[in-house]
Amino acid sequence: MGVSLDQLPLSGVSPSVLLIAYLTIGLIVARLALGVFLLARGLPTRSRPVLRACVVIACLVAGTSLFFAGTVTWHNGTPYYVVQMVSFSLLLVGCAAAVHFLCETSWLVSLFVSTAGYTIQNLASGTDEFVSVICRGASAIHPVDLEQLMVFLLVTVAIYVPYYLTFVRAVRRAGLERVEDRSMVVVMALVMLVVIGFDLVIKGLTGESGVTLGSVIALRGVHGLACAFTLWLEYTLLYRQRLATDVAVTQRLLVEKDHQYESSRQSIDAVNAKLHDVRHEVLRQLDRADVDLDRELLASVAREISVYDTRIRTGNVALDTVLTERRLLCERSGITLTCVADGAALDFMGAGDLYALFDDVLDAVIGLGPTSVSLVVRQTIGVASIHVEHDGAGETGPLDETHSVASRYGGSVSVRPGQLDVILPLPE
Amino acid sequence: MHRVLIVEDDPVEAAKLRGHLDRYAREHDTSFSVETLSSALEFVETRHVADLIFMDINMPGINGMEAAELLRTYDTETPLVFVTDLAQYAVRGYRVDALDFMVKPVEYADFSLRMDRAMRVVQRRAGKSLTIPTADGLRVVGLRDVLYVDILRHDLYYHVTGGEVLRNRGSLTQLEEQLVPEGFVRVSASHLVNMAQVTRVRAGSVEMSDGEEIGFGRSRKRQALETLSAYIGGSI
Repeated sequence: MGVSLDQLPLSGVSPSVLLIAYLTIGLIVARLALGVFLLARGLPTRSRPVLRACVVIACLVAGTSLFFAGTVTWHNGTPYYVVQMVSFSLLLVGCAAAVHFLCETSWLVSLFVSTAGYTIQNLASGTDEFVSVICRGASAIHPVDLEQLMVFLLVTVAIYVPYYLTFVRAVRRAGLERVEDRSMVVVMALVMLVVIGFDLVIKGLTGESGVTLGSVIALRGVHGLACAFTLWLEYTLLYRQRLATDVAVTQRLLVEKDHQYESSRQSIDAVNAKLHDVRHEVLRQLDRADVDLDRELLASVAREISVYDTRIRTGNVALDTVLTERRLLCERSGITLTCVADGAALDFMGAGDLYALFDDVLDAVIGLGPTSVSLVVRQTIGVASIHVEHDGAGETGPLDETHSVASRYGGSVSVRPGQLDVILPLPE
Repeated sequence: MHRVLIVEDDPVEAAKLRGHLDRYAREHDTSFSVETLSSALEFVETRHVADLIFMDINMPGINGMEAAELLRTYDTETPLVFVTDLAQYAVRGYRVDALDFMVKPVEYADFSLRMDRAMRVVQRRAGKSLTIPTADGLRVVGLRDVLYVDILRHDLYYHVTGGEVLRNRGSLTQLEEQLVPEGFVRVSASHLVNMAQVTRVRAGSVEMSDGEEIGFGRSRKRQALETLSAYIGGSI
């Protein structure tokens, strides 16, 4: 926690000094609350948040007062730093409980948030000590006069602004709700307690004779690094969790696309085979001179069926499937879809990826209500190029799947009115 | 005036295409001189020169696909669009670098869409030039011959085909504004590249026709790759 009151125990001192000491503890608790608040701000709150916030503030004031009262009356022989260590450990638990009480989140996330807030407060407190030792030779700052208050505020800004800009924003991007690794969070809380213990040891050493200023500065430096390491550990834990989640989601989507592709391929093959047979039977009947038939009608039926009898063959089975499927849909909607496609250019892609990409691209384009769509797939200058031109109105949607697949293969997507291009570098 | 060649054995279809070309010319304030050949054999024998070719596939004797294969043995650049009722064969048009195909009977909406892309490719081939004031006086260079331009201490270096390098003082940003509409792309803070002279696109660089490899600048990579994908696809 980093609180250090020079005159401890405080029993027997004047009321003004007691007030100053009380305010000092209050401001340091406020720092802790700020660190936690910045991180927890994005979490959903529980019902009646104002009432809950009031309860938490009341508990904070009561806790601070209790700690202060204990400090004032402390003279039972127990080492003071043991008292502080126990108090601060309880505060970490209390902090996690407060976050859990205020926010609709798990205990793990609450502990994660509290540990981070606690760490940054400890880093700020350590920096206070560092500044104090450098400037005044004293071991602690009590922000009671204007000069010391300014130092306190400057240290707060100097530590919390980078904390917000780097750590808090990065954690929000990674998503707090992904904190799922129970053992790691517990380990981090323990690391945090070790860091607090280390801080207390430094404080103890600062006042001792025989400990040089250089040693104290070096120890403070190590303490700062330990705090930074704890925050880095927290972020790494979350980031790795996010990567693991993303990979799992992507794999699940790919498996779904693979199933969808396989099912489409089988359906198209079955329909085509059946219609192929029907068409040949119609043509066979037409060739028979001995049967009385409406030949014009049968010829028309054969022509209509031939659309379904001609599977697009590009040299890539997955591409054939998605294009044949889409062409049939376009046929039904009165859209002309032409494809000049070198399927072999996309042989390096997984069938699921390929299906997902073309499904997304054609979905987006057909959604704009065009009457004509042209698709060209070819390989040139080291890339597979997919070009779609259409006369649909408006802009295509976000094309998330297309961007995701293109980025996985190191490619690029370009969208212009009436045109869409994707390039994917060919493996060398 | 753009020269268009229609290779089509069905006079009705040929007339329909001519009609579409007339309408397209009116709508886009351009003009075409259109010639029609009634067989692929005639096309192969006469080696007609054109800016754009419309080719039927299903023709007696040599079919359109075979004629296109022969065309590509001596002309790899003239844009070619198939007009056919054999859609399943036209899918393989990439083998002869066909731009696209249209299914008969050709509707104007389908024609116009494919014509837009064909015209962009035709325009690319138009021989524009660039005047460069060098220490030895003004030099006029065909834009197609400029491989890339780089800058070193306010001096622009134009690398042209044949290994020649021309130098003049100037700003790459100003030159970029002038050359981007002509098919150039800024790939890094110091390089402006002619996309027509790129022979390979890699994840982190482009290789030019003289073998020079130019890396993407970190801040420009995404935009450069997007522009390259649009260029390669024929969108610009």
